[in-house]
Amino acid sequence: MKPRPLLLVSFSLILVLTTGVLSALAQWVTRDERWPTRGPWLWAVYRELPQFYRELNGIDFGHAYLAETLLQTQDPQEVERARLEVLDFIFSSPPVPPDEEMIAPTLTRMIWEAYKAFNWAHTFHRSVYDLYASDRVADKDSALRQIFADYISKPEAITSHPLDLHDKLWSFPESKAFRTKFRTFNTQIWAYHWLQAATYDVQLLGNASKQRELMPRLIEFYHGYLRKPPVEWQFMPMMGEGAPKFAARFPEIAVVFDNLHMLHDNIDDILSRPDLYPTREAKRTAILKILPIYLHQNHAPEDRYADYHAPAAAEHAGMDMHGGKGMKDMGLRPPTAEQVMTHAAPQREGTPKVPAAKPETEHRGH
Amino acid sequence: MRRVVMTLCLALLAGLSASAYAIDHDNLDEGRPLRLEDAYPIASGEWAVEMGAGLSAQRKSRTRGFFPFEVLYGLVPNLQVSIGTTLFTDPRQIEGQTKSGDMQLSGLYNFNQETLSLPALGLRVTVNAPTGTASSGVDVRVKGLVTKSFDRLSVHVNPAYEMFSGTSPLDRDGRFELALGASYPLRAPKNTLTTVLGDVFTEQTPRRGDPQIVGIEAGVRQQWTPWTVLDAGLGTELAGPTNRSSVFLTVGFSIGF
Repeated sequence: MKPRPLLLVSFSLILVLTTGVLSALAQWVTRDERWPTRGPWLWAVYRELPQFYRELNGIDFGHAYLAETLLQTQDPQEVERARLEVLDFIFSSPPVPPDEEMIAPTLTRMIWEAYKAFNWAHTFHRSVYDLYASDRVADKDSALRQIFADYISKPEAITSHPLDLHDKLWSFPESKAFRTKFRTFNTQIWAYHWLQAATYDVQLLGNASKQRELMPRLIEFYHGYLRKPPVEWQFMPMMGEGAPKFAARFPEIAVVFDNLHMLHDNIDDILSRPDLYPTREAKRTAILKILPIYLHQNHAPEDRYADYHAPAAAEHAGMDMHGGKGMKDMGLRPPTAEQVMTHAAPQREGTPKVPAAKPETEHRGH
Repeated sequence: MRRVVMTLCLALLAGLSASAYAIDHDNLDEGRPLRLEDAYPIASGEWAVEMGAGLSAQRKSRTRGFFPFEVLYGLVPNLQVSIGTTLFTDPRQIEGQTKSGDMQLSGLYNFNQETLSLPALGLRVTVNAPTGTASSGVDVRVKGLVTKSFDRLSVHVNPAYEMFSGTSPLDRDGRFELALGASYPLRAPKNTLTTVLGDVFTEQTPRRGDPQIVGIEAGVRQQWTPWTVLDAGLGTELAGPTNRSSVFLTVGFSIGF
């Protein structure tokens, strides 16, 4: 081979290898799996509220299966089939949390950065349920501060800063795509988020025994949403709507969960626009563009994500859900846990009647 | 020594909380039930206990029972440390450096999560202390862990090199091992509780001049509760020295807490 072609081949080879290595290195991400914060509350939901524990397992499947489905297809019939499969899974009352990496192998490998943020936030979610379901902890506020401090100290923690969920974070080119294309599935997902929120206010009503008495009513109401998803909802349920008492008492934590749920919506929107993001790399890039807004812990007025802060009036979105600018024109909104407990919330079609519970005054001992 | 190890095992078991959390049953660890393992450690802050019982039918000697026990801890993110031992029946008949009752200290570090283009990479270093019956010398094994998946099928490659000390002149100072296998969750995505796995392996024999061991094994891991996994495995050594194992089987139990 003459020197010049050899040089050309060598140069091309180096270029290809360099590009390949750089592309691969761009995906380098550490796993960082964490065990929940330890304390006497651990696994209390499993012991005390087994029915709710199984609902959470079903919800875990629902999120993962949806995302993997949207990666594979946009065919409305296929997506509807996937939705019904999720319902079958949820109604099978799974006793063991499913392995999300096996449900959504492509998604978790494509965007582990987001998945580990979800994983850690879901662990936090479950820890808070555990705490309030446990009768072994007397000073729950103090324990909650400890759990929250542990959660928020990790780099993959979702910020507790109120973000402009209704406007700026729902005004990307792809925003509302999932709602528009797959409204039934979208509102089914929102029903999960409503249950996750409303449960906290039920937990504030009493000890584990009281919660066991009240939760069937809430879960039956939620099953009504699953059987007939609340397609009239225009926006995800907020913590301050399902659990106004919890959100007022622990606004930072309520904000974390609202941000978490919005991040789910943002990602589902990206996955619903293959015309904008045709390749996995494009989807990954779009998700990685949004994710740092949620992971940025020290939001301040002058920071680089200032545009995404919630307007001052709606900062405490969890406490004043219906007054903020973004909440206007949102149509019918979900009920509070208390409305469900007292039968003040309209019963969904097909929902079996469960006698109205008598919520007591808030259980301050918790 | 055996009494000490048994006492330690029972003390640890007695200290187990009745409650534990969702164990990652797809996380393959050596011995549970096969030698094959993936590149991932247990979660940071998690404790786990893995134990089992097995039988190995030898071609030229009596069938031997073995009882491994290991305690693992997720020390920091992506790093697990563990301490364990294996008790054998007929302990004096064991060839090789790892003897019944030897204490094994191990660290497994995972460098990265598998992505669409990159495999997961990990490294395990194990120190075998001669605390067991008729044991001599401290041995060190370095094992590479590579996991690459194709949809739900995960392929694992485990090359290893073990350095021996305190060996006799007829024995090797070190040996190479290699396991290549795969794992797959049966009935996924709707059911992710059962994982089947299998591998082929080869390793140099402890004694110089003996033919290399080649074998196959297969197993299953079944998540039983959110915190417990049951496993079972079966294998054979197809080639190797005359006293190789004609069949070996194991059953085991893992709990995360």
